[in-house]
Amino acid sequence: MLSMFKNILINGSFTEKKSYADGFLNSAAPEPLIKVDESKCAACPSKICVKVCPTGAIMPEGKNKIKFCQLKCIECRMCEDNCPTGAVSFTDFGIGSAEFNKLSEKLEKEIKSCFSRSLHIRQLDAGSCNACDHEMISICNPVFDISRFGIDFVASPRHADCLLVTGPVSWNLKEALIRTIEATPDPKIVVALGTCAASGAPFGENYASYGGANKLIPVDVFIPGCPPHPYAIIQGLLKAVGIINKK
Amino acid sequence: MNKKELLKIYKNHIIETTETDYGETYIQIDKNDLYEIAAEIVSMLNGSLLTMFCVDELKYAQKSLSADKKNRYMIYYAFRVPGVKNDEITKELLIIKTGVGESEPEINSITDLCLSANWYEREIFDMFGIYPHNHLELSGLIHHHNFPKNIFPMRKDFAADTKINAVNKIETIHKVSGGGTYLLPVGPIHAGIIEPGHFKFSCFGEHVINLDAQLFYTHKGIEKTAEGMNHINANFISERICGVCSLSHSAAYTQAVEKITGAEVPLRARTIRVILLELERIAAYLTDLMGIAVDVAYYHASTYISKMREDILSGVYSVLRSRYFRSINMCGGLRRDIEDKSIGSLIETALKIKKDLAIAEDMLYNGTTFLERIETTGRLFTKTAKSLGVVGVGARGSGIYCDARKAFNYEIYDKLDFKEIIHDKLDVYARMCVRLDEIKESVSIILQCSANLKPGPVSVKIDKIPAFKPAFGITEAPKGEHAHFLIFGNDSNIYRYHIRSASYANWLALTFAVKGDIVPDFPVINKSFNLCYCSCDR
Repeated sequence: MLSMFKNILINGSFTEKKSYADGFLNSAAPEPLIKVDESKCAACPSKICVKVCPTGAIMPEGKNKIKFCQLKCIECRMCEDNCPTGAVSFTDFGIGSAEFNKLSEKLEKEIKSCFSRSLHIRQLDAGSCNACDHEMISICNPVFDISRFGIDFVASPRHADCLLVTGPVSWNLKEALIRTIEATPDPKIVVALGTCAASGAPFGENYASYGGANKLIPVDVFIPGCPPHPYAIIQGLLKAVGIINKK
Repeated sequence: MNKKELLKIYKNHIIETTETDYGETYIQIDKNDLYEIAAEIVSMLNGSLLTMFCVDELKYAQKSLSADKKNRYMIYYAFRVPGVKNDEITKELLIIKTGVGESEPEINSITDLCLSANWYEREIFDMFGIYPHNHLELSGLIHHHNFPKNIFPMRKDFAADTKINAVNKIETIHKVSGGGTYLLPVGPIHAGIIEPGHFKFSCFGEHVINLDAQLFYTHKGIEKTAEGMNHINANFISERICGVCSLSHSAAYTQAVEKITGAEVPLRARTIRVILLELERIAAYLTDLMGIAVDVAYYHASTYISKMREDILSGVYSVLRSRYFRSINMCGGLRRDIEDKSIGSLIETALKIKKDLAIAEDMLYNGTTFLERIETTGRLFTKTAKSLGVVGVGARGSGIYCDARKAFNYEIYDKLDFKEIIHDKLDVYARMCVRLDEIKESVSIILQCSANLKPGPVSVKIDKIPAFKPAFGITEAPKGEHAHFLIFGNDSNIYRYHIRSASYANWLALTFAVKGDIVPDFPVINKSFNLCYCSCDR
């Protein structure tokens, strides 16, 4: 018992304000993960990135350009590895400490004005691979500590303002998903978390998977990433709160 | 008796024997001899069922498929048998396969020989429509009650993108009757941040008499999706079978491909793989310890451990640019080399964990109210565990040696010095102790690897993949032993990909472990086995 208090005194607070935050998230609006240097890309005749992309997230556009669909990107970085001219590069999630503080202040303010200091989230696994769910556990840990913004995960959809759906929606879960959405009181936000919830990639559509949450339910915000970085989830929630303010 | 003697005795019954250079022996037999030979392997060879699955050979090389499609469905029974050393620890694979005709899709069930065949046979019935005779409890496993009859998705003549409409059918359940008993249904959407599964507890007072678990809610047809993919793209699918053991699944997949192609993976790649696999193990074990503490409301310890876990994930993110060990492994080695400086930072992370673990251990071993809840809770008896074919921490907590790192010696584990931790207390406490001790072993493995790391290439090119050559990839993941089975077709694309995850093998054990315990103990027992739904359901 006493050692418990001793540990608390020695360890202090783990919640990151600075060191983890160095170089995180470049702006408040979600940026595409891939950055393409267009002059270098135009010089490349083979467009090998279109062929190596396992989910078809990169499409040719016109003669010399490529188009990138972020909702299908599983962050395998095959395009970056195989690009002969070095035109494609991935942006790492990075945020400056000042920017993160700005982001978190904004999030806190929005939540205060709209939900009287609390945004309650209900997680809904619709066939995910578990990684997104573990990132949700990560944003509750003392380092990211999402509860300081008034965000909390609740046990029942009837208590929730926001539904975080993960996974491409499996055949067996269709009924449970729709009934959970119906059980959530309005106004509600539905957030599709992870690439497979956004577009079904890489599992695709088949007899047992619907290929994305938006095929069955109206989705307000997509947070792509496989899995999205905890900071990307916080950023996505900020966007979601903005939407419900308008509702 | 050993493998060779057994094969000699049944020489006349064996249609075809294929020896491979990677320790797997495939024998084909008639389906009427199946039961007898399986019984012999289980009783005389002390074999245990690794996995069992079916391959639809409709589009197979034409020579093996006779005109009347007598052997259209080939059913594989993979047994672990004692290896050349004939000790309890090292194992080899003996695979018996038998053909089942299209006109008569039936087999003899072997559930009375090994209980672990229960789920495999039900899965084969659901996916291929092959009826197991004398099965102990045949009902839908992957397909729920609203799935239409006579649709078998894994058959080659079933198109993957077929739309299926639900039918109305009444669910059958196991009910307990008598005064004071009641049924407590839970799920599929649960209260915490966990995956979906539907449980029906039959209770008397607070005590669980029987647990009927309906799983496979997250079944999304990964095996069917993977068919027809090339070996590069299928690797990304294998990484996404389960988020917690991404690299272990990927390593099992690449191991199978490397066995088929005979690719010699460079030593540096193997060593780095082991470092990353052990880091993944530590991260997953910390998640489990966190879960065990949370489920009995011991937040002080769980918060501290979740911070340790975050240290690993962000440490790995700075090196791999993926928090879940993705996009680094590939068939034939690694996608890119990791500099020695980055390896150094991973080692530092591991050492930091070792230091912090002492504090976490102090919290876990000395919390009296915590120990009160986990001791004697969820006991899985050794005999039950053996007959159910339990693997991983679940088995080691019940005193069974089953570490695939020792048994199959993949990557460079045979050159490393580490102990296989077992515990004989059988309960949640035992499984927690196994995890705490294994984290320390993992740190020691990482240090040994880094000491032996020499510069060199990290990948070889995979050129041509031989068609219709089967191979297994087996790894010891944080959840237990994963077994992947692969066959490539004529076009160098995957013909059949079977995934048997550790959770699949362990799920039935949970229903035995909760018997007699109270309902509120269910989450902590579940967590102590670390069963995941996604890799079980696929």
